[in-house]
Amino acid sequence: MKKIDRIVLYLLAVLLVGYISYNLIGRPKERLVYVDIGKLLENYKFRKELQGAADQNINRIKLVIDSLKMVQKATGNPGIDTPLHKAQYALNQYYEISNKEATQKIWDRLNPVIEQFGKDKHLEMVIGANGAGNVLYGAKDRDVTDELITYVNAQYEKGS
Amino acid sequence: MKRVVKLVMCALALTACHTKQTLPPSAFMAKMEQQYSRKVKAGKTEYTIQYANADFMACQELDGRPETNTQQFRKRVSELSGNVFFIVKIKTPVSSDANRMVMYYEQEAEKDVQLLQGDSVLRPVLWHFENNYGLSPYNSIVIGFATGKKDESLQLVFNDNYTQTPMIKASYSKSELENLPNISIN
Repeated sequence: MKKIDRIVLYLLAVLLVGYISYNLIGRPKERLVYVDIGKLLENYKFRKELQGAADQNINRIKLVIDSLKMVQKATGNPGIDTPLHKAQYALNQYYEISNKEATQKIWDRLNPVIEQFGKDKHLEMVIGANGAGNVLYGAKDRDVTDELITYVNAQYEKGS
Repeated sequence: MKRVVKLVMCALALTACHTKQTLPPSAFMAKMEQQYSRKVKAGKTEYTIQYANADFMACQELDGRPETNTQQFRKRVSELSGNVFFIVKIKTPVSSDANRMVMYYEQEAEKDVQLLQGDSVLRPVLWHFENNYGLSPYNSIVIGFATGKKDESLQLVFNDNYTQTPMIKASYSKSELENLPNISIN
């Protein structure tokens, strides 16, 4: 074997050993990271689709309300007042309940995926920054929001 | 030097090469369960969705029947071909209203499931809910779709109105489906 061959083989062997030992023992313990919760929720596909479905129902109730208002305006019939109030009450109720349920459903789906993300990336802790002051300062390189958005959306579409 | 370059090229070619594997039944089932199974967690409810082609279903049906021969297996596969199946396992906390649960999964849930195949939306052609009478921690549903022989990406979408879990999705890309393992039967 030529000398140059031996040198290249030696270098490859060193690289291989280095790579294996880095992955097995030398990988630095990953860090504390933070996520902008507002941005995460805004870009989470599941939330968008859930919102879309809820909006359709809200629009249906709004259509009923608008129709009743038009009839009331055109006829001046006081008998319309009761169904109109009922429809408006139903809209408020639906809005309140669907909002509460949606929040619960979103976090039910997000929490296990974030946990998996943390494990996959060997993170020690993921902190949620929501603009309410729980993270006063974070270096940019500790912000994993975009990476997490990509991850949660991929997991949502594929199933993990 | 040339020899080293060749060695490196061979190693790269081997790692990049994704040939379709032909596996004995047990290895085939294990690979399918490992690579073609998806999990969706929503709170305390967990959905496991197993993609099952004709080979998988035939294997599962004929498993534990020593009298089965190759001919019977092939016959069953040809009967099932042109369809794909999904075995959905739903793990929920103990239900306080088992009757409503059984009623929903047996009779109503079918309308809440669809399969997206490329641009087409398919409805189930087969639906079977296995009632476990509370004896196992999960319930299973077998869902079948007539997909034909097209090799297109698939996405199962299930809106579970019993647990109120919307948009449970399991996707299988075109390349994943093209690389499904083959089964070797002697």
